[in-house]
Amino acid sequence: MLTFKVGTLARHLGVHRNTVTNWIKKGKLKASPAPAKRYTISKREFTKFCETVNIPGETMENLFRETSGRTQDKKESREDLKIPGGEKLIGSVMVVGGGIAGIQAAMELADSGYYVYLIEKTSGIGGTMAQLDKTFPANDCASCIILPKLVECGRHGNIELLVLSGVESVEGSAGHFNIRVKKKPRYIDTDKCIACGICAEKCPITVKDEFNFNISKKKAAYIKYDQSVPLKYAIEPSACIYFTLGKCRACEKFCPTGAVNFKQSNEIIDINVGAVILAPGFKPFDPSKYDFFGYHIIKDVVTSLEYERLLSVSGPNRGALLRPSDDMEPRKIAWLQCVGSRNHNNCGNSYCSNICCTAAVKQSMTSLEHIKGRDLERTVFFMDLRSQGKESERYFEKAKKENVRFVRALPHTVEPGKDGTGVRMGYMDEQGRVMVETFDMVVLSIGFEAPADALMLAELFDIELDRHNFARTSCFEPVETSREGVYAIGAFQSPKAIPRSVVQASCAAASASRLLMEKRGTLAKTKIYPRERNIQGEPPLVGVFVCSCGLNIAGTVDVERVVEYAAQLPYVAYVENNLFSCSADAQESIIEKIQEFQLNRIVIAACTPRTHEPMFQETLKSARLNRFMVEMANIRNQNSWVHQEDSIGATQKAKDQVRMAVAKVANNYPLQQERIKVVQKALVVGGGVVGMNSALTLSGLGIETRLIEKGDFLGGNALKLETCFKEEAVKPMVVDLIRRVNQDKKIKVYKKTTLESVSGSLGNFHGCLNISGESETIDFGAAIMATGAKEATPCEYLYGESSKVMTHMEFDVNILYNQNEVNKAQSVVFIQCVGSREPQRPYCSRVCCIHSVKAAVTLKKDNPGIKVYILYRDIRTYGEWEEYYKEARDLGVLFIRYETYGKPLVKKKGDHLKIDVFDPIARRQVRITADYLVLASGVIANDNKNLADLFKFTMNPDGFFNGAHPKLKPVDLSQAGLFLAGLCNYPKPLDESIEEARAAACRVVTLLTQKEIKSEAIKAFVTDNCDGCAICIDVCPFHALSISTEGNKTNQARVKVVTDSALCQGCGLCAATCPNEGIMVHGFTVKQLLAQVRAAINGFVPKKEC
Amino acid sequence: MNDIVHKSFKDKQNTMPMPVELGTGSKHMLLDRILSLIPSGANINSCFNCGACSSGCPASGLSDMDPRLFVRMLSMGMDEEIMTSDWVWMCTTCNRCVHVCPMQIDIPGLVLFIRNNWPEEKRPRGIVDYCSLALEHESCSITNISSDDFKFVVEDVADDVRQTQQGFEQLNVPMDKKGAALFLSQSSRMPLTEPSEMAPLWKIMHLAGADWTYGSKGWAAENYCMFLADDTAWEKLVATKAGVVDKLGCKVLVNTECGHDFFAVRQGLEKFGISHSFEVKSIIEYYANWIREGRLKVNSDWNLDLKIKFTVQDPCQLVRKSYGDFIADELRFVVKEAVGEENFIDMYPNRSNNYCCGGGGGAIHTDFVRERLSYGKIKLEQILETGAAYCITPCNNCHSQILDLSRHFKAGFKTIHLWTILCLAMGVLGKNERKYLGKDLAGVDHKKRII
Amino acid sequence: MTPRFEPVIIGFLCNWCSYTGADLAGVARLQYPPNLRPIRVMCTGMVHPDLVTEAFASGADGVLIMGCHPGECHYFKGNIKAAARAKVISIILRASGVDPRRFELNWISSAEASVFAKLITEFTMRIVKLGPHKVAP
Repeated sequence: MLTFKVGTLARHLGVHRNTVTNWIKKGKLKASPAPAKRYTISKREFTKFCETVNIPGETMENLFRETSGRTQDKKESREDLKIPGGEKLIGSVMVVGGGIAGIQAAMELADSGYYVYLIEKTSGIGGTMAQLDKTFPANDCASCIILPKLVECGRHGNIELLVLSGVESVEGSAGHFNIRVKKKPRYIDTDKCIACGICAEKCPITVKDEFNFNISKKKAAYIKYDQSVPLKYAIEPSACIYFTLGKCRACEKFCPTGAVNFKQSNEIIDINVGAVILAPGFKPFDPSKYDFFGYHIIKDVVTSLEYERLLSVSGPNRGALLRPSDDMEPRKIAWLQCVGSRNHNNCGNSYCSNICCTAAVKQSMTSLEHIKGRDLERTVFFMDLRSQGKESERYFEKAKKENVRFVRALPHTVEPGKDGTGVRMGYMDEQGRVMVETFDMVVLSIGFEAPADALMLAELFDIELDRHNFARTSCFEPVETSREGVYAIGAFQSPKAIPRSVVQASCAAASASRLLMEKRGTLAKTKIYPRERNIQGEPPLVGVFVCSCGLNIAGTVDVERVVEYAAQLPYVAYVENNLFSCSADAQESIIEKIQEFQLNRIVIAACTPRTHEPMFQETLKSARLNRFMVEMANIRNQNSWVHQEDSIGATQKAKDQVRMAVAKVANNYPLQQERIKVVQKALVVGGGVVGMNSALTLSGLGIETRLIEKGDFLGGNALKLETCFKEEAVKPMVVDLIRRVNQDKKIKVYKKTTLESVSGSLGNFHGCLNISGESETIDFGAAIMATGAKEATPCEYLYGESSKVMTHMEFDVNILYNQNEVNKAQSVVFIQCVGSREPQRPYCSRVCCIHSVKAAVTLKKDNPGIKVYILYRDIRTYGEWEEYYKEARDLGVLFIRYETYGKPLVKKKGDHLKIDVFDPIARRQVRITADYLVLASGVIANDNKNLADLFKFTMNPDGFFNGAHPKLKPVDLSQAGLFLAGLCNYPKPLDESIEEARAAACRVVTLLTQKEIKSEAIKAFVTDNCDGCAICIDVCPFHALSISTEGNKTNQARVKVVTDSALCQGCGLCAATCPNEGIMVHGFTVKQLLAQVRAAINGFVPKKEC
Repeated sequence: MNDIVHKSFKDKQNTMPMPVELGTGSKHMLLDRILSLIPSGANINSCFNCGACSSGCPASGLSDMDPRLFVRMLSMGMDEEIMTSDWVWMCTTCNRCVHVCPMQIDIPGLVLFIRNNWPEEKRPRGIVDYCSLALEHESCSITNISSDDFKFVVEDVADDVRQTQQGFEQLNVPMDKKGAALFLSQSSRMPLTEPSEMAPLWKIMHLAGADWTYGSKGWAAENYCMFLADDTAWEKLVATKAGVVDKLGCKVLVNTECGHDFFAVRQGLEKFGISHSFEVKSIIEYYANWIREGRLKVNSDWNLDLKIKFTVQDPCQLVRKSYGDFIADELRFVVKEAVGEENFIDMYPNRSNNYCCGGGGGAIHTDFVRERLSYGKIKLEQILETGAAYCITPCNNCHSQILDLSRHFKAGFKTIHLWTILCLAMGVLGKNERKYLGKDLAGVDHKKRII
Repeated sequence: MTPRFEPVIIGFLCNWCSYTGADLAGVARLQYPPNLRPIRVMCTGMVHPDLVTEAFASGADGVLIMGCHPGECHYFKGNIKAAARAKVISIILRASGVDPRRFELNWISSAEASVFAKLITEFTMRIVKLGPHKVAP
């Protein structure tokens, strides 16, 4: 869209730029705010303005002529990009911000053939999620779900992690950016650091620990957190006394590996990338600017993020909930909502921060797990409780059942309690009485603000921000910034929780991937290994490498004794002690010894396999061994570090651990990762906006796609919508989508079609379609469910009995978009939550509040005299939609709250409706005479049972599909290769649906661009012992087992279980169920585990057999 | 939940009133007028009903009303009930509601609007009379003191000081001095009822060597017309005062320990666009600067052994409604210099979030005495909680209300003007200037102690 | 001087939660007695009852199975299956003369390092009190 700057307009109109700015401020000229208090004016708005103030058409045309020259250039450069194999495209992407959104985007792109630079300003990735204790709505431990992802990201061959780094300058344009990155010195050589922590132990300087939101201290030599990636220490130069006073260097003196390097300096790196994804996260609101919260004065007032650290087992109190003032366990806690959100006074954060309500509900529930007694009074003070997310309403109901008290009131001032502990607050209760209550602690549910560097990023990348400095994007292109090739995701786009951040990450990855498609795979690296040695028939020859880890292990465990002992063990052919087994030279040594002694199995007695096993596996591959022939004995994390006072016991345990590892590895055999041939075609079920977006994204990324729609037209619910919540016209968008889908050669559309049956698994599904009675079989490698949902039909409030009572969709079509009808109407009432948030439908439909509020705004704008009333339970105009709620109120829409026990009563009276309801604020019965009653009846799932049964995935009790993981895999279904998007996942507005559509497509593409998929090696296999009793089949959580009849040598049919290795995840539930070792898991066979058990018993030494 | 204290003043019995009629045909006259007359309608429509205002309003519950309910009733067109509630005269327009309101709804503005819509004859006589009296005199005073009387009283008291108080033989109280740097306003109460209370201020001005003057016209530091939202009258009073100051060519109009007139003048000059060539400042700024510059030799040694505790009331008009925390911090600096840091105990909340004492908004001159005292209970408890023997009140209305509170509830603490403690701390407080001091301080004479 | 009884305790730790939690105890240097012999398994649901009975038959003095909290299993419900199995194992142990107090199933999340250390300390103390487990002839 053509836009102008204030200066340009001023020049052309011959006025001062302040004059133009004044027009804008007075509302005469409509403009969009741009960074640094600047504005941009669209051509349309300018034309409108010119007409109203009679500016000669000539001036206008001159302006357009001059500026259109510039856009012409831009267009040309875009054309450039479209030249196949255009040299200007670069097959790498930069992701700025190492939180969960950035990590997800980086992984998606790195997995699909792009080289990724992940820029993180702190010393480690993980972002806010790594700081959380638990996540809603499953109360999952946050670190448990993010850590594996961090490790995976950290060692991904195609992700270059640049920590302590920031963008300095940006040149070029979409397809070929040249970006200068400044990397700050860490003062620790990451190749040498073994994360032993001695530097921090010896460091004499303490500083505030930002990871714990400054509620605790760390040393100037620090590690961001105990599981940080990279797992390396760093030195904070502003605190280090060597840098400030020129003395100390204790860390350097004591570092066992000589990793400290004070000579490091800033590093400038120039990077060429084709696209950029911005994921800098958010800035937590600082409540100290409000005197009435007492945050800066009262110790027991903490922010919700500080509270997460107080709860976290890795936090300063190691998970014990203690109030800051006196380290006593609190017995009564209050949460205050909307601190720094929904506010026009002082802070100006007029938006809703989206997650704080559910986060407070979560904290209120999980707090119980952190105290010794069970008596903890919990009260949440709120305005509207916004639990609009998937499963959140049930979560809220659960909290109420667990006696969390929810009080609809905001206290005025938090006052200090007696003796400097606790707090005192006054609030007006729902009966209009002022209550004064004391609490042991108050948690301020702080909102999100745009990240501190938002303006800087906007300037560097030349992107538009909204008036709160969040990145401006549109409804139909929800992650695309105003600059081509630059995408904004996560909280930087708008305040949001983890799942939608993850969805946006995948969505942006799809867009970046589309832009750079011709260059996919050009910069991504693949490591080539020598051919594996065949060890069949060889007796086990085990090499044992015992690590001293500097003094980390050797300081407690007598390493020499362990080495001597290991040499006497059966099968052991070689033993060596390394100072650091993970060092590069140790890897060389391991390779040499494998070759020299023809070793075929390796035991590494060192730290934990969770972080280091993949590295040693690589070493084995380089030494021509099967990578699964290594076993680690964890003699550091689970021995020397935890038995520091008991050297003898630790040494004995280390010997036992080595013996157990040898016993296990001796019983191991080379494992093969099965290669699954992939059908590089996708299936999309559902022809609405979501299905079409998925299909177009898939086809754009080179995947042939079949789109099936059960009805006889494409477009779905969107056909009934006039504008989306961002006021963009929906119809032209849908029409364009339909046109593009129909013209796309890679998309085949099947209307009046349903899926009749399905078989197969990831990479190889086979389906049978029913096309208006005709059947056709199709093969596909992966599928996206986009079956949508529908508006519920109300069964109360005279719906169906009076033509004046309508649902949203009906009202939109019949009245709202008919100016005549709007003009005639005098009074309209909306009732929210019709049939929603009630026992029979216990979820929030997420869109109805926004829909009603927006409709009310439209009514008021089109007919200012009209009276509009919205009867509601909680107004849930979450996130940026809060602005509509404000607008509606400002226009005079009256909001009246009702409770489920006092629902509005609707009666017909002549031509009118009479609606009786009790207003709890005025504490008065209200009678409204209305022309129309609009019922916000919510969204209900389509009948998805058939589809769920066909594919064997599950639905929640409300009929929406269950995702694989509520936080990190929001568009994956639990069955590999199947995905979901849009309303069939959960009710949501168009922009969020489109994000999911593209995210799901991105996930599919990552799978289907590979010709074959290597499955995990740790999988179940059936042995000859299987007698087909089938008891394992029921326990398999992945439906990976089935029964088959196969002929054996004597041609007698024999019943046996078979595994589908594409579905099997290797959990081993089957193996533990089988009574006669008929099914086992590779790498964890009963024989191996038994060998380990036996080897563990003191004094039990397996016989030397070789 | 046994520690919940229910602070409602009256139990609200719900008799079943008629339902409020809304929708087609319903009329909201007051709301419509508010939206058309008050800029941005005081944000009234933005209300969330969150109740933060009512949670922290000492007038919540008086007359069965509270700020949230008040706004709600206006929004719902319950005009008759709004217009017959005395509550608008109990609200002190202290702005504590606006301070926390997420939507910055100007509830005091709405209250004033409703006051202005009350029939003349039903408005509280005290406020009405004070407004019309002020309009009748060129002194703008709410008393009947003529310019000549004022001049006479001032000169008479000054004479007394010159003759009886050592070191002030040269005390000069300038009147209508052209070109003086500072024009001091003066509360009307003192020249009429307690003239000797004026002397400490003069002595401070004298010791600081300030170039100042009183005016024989426009000197009175009151503006009760503002409390009636009578804009014409409010403007007239401010314009008269501005004319006097400008005529004398003074650069600063200094308000002397009076809250509401400070606000009325500052706000009035801006609101009505009255042209003027002087600034309006609070005397507290000058006290603080003069102490810093060493012009006022304030010393807290007198309290070293006595250890008498002081607290301070932040006048809403001066702090929350005008300067914010800046002036509150200056006030604390002055008080700590005078009584010793360790003898100053703050109330909580304080500064910009302070509780109104209940004397503001004209409430001190209405007949709702019981309600006013009830309103002040929070302030009373706050002062008692500090354990201070004295509450320093640099505002005349605060002074009267807190004095009333202490007497009525037999609380035992005293309340004094800021000038009193300043003069005490400089050892220049005269014998007849100790009206508000208790026995503990009646005999304290700084200078003698040092000698 | 008779040597102090040092029991051998076999622990099956699930890869996703308990093993990670045990690692974290190391990072935090939380001290506990050195009698645990950890065995990493992918899921507690993978632990065959035979492994437990064989451990006691071979002379182990105690056995612990540790996995994710209910609802947090990497494989949805493996830990639930393990819990059901643990009940059966206890019955088998009692029948074969093993004091059921020597066997326990516990939930340790990957963040609960201190819970892990405390559990191992307490369990070890319990086994020391019970004395050596005598393998039935």
